[in-house]
Amino acid sequence: MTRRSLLAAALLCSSTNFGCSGGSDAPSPEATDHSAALSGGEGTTFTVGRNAFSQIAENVRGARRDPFFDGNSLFNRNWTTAPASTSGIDGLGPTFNARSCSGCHFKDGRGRPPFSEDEPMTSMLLRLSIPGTDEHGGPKPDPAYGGQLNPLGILGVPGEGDARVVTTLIAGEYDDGTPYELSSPRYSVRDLAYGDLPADIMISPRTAPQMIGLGLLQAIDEADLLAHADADDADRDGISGRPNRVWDVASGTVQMGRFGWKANQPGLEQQNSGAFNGDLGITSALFPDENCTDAQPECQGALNGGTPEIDAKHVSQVDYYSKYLAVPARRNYADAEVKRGEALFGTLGCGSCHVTTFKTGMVGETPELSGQTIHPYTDLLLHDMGDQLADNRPDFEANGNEWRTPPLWGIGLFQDVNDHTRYLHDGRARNLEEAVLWHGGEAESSAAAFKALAADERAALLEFLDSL
Amino acid sequence: MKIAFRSCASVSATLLACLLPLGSLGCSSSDDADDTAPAKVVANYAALVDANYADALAQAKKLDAALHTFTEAPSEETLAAARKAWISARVPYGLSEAYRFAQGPIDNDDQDDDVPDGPEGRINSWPLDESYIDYVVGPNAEVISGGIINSPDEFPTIDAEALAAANANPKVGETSISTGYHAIEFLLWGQDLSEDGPGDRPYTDYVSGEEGTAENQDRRAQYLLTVSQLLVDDLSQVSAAWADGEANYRADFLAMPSKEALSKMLLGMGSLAGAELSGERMQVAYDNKDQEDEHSCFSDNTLADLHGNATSVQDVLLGRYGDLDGPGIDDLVADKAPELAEKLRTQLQGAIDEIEAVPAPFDQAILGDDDTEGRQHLRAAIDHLKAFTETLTDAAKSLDIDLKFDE
Repeated sequence: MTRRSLLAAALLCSSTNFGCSGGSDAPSPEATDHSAALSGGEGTTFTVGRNAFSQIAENVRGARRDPFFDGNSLFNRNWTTAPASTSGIDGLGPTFNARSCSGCHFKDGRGRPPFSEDEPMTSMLLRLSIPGTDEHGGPKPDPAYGGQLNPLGILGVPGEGDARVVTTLIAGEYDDGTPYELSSPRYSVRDLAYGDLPADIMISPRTAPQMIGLGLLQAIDEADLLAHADADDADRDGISGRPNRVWDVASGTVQMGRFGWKANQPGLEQQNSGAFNGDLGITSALFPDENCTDAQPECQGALNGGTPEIDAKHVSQVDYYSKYLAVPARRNYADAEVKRGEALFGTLGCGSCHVTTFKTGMVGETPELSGQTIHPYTDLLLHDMGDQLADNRPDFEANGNEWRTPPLWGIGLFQDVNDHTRYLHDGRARNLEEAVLWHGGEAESSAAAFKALAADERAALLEFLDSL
Repeated sequence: MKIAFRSCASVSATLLACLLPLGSLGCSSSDDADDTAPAKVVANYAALVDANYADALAQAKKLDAALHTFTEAPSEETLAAARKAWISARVPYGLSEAYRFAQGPIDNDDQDDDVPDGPEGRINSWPLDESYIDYVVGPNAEVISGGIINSPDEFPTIDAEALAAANANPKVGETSISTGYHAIEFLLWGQDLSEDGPGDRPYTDYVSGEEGTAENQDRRAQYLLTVSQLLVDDLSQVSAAWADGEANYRADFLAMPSKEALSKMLLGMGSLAGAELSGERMQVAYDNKDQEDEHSCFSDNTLADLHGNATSVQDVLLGRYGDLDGPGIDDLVADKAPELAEKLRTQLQGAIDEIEAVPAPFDQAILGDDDTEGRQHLRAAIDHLKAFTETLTDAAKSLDIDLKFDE
């Protein structure tokens, strides 16, 4: 991707495509707040289509773009079995979920569940644990399988098992009598290579999230996030957001969690190295041990690709890359129908958790991420989402019912980037409408209010979500 | 309906301008039916692509023949002949890579259109997962006998079907790279374990019995011939799609509005020159200084690959391939903006000159301080290619084409 040349060319304004696609009437400039389109601040990208999530933030200039490029290369590169001539990127596995980051985060986008029981799980995974906690208060890994199921193994090392999903349809009805159906998933693991899973195993299914805007989320001052916390619901609005508190490996301290479906990672560096270790089987300075359990002698006996397998330089390239993936601009943000949906989003209380706007703090090494007014539609806090969405698997301070509010920026582009419209932590919602309907727990009243809307109002709300 | 946002220059001032309604700007009817010059450039391009893939296929067949000769009678001579055939086969393929990146027969991955998926991933992927294929030497000089070749229990038969299945693990949507030019390269040269030369796999890796080295010599030969056949088959498919006078992709390509076809040509040139060549194949290696993080790491043929790729872009620019020479993109640009056409030619020639000045082998040239001769020429080549790609975007604009590079 030659990003610099995109920048160099002010093509938009003379593009034959612009304004010719019909449909939305152009707004009068006076009436419209254009900043509403800039979800990712000055780094917002205007690329749409399949590469909408793959752009570098527009405000990163000159030589500061170079590490992003190297990180992009590494993100897409297949790791190879050790030992290999390309010694910088060998050491795959011994057990793993994917060979490259992009294997799950395809086009830097969103993973999805299998569409049928016959299809294997390729861009989501199952976290595993047993009751209790580890030494730092995190989930206690299964003694034979570890903290997540790795379906694949290098030659000579059996993969751990084959995860499958079956779904059943649940019928529901809007207040106006319009019927709908939700697809409820159930998970199983076939061909378990290291013995049966214990009866008290806890399984948490999680899709690979889109990679956009992560550096901006990291740059929000913690105090600004905590200002939205209300653990005991003192204001009695039914919403009791609270931060997760998780183990920060580098500092050896407990920190607020920001990343992951249950906010179980304190920062991007740990998130990235954790994914290298858990998903690809790549050791790093932060996670120096292969995830082979005592029940896996072939795994323990396999050759590694160095100690650690990914060096500090490559880690920093991927960290840089993950910080600077741009957030796409909103489309149709000034459309009358979208504006109407936006108002309903407020009325229904969606914005209590999906907080629209933050201004990022000042971050010394990343000026492009500093002081940016952004529209992530998240508070990065944990909320009880009800029994139906629960994974019943605690993750640090997040209980089995709690999930982190996911950012909504970019959610209208999944179809363009990843050819699907699957939402929520396990991708069970087949479109945005179902995603709203699944909301329970603290969001129960908002979901109920959505169900009480007239059909045209519901459509307007969904139009708004699709514009993000 | 979605507004078709394109990538916009800078956010601040330009943004507002971009978001304003632009009336009928750019909405005039797209193609002028009698713009004969573009049509000639497009037709000439189709002829170049046809000739180039025909050469690539012919060379792959020669390579296949040399591999048969080698495996039937392994010796220093037949191995040397096979390696020579591989080097020769790389030339036309390297020259063809500017035809990629535009959803054509070589690498189409758009499931929504009528063009079948392209085989590029099987043909030229790297880095190779070599220990997934054969034995390798470990960090302490120990031989690690593994890979498909040395796993007869798991892979009793080595044939196209088995390798395709091994590549496309049904559990995942991606592959371990174990086919294509670089698999053949690995099986002929072996790992490059030397500081300054290529790999030196002995021919006896293919000799059974007492004189033989390594294990499973017959299976190794079988693997080599199988990936070679796959390569021939894949190139046959691509070549047929560009053959003249058939109901194929070429016919569809020529039937496109000239502007659409030109966009694809420009997209291929810019994507190769920018992201792939100056980025993946040069900048990343330049930044990381990892020996063997290079395109043809077993044979040390990387500099020739880079030269071929840059020339591939130049061929499309100038409308030439081998003995063929016709109207090129540069002629079209020259009609609209002569200075841009000249800039394109100069920048690209500059890149080629710099690549030629890099001392071989590539994996040594990337090492050391930034003021070494190798790194200076590489840096200059990368900069020329980046500048060329930017100029290409402007040149496209002069042809009223909004160039948007794919990943």
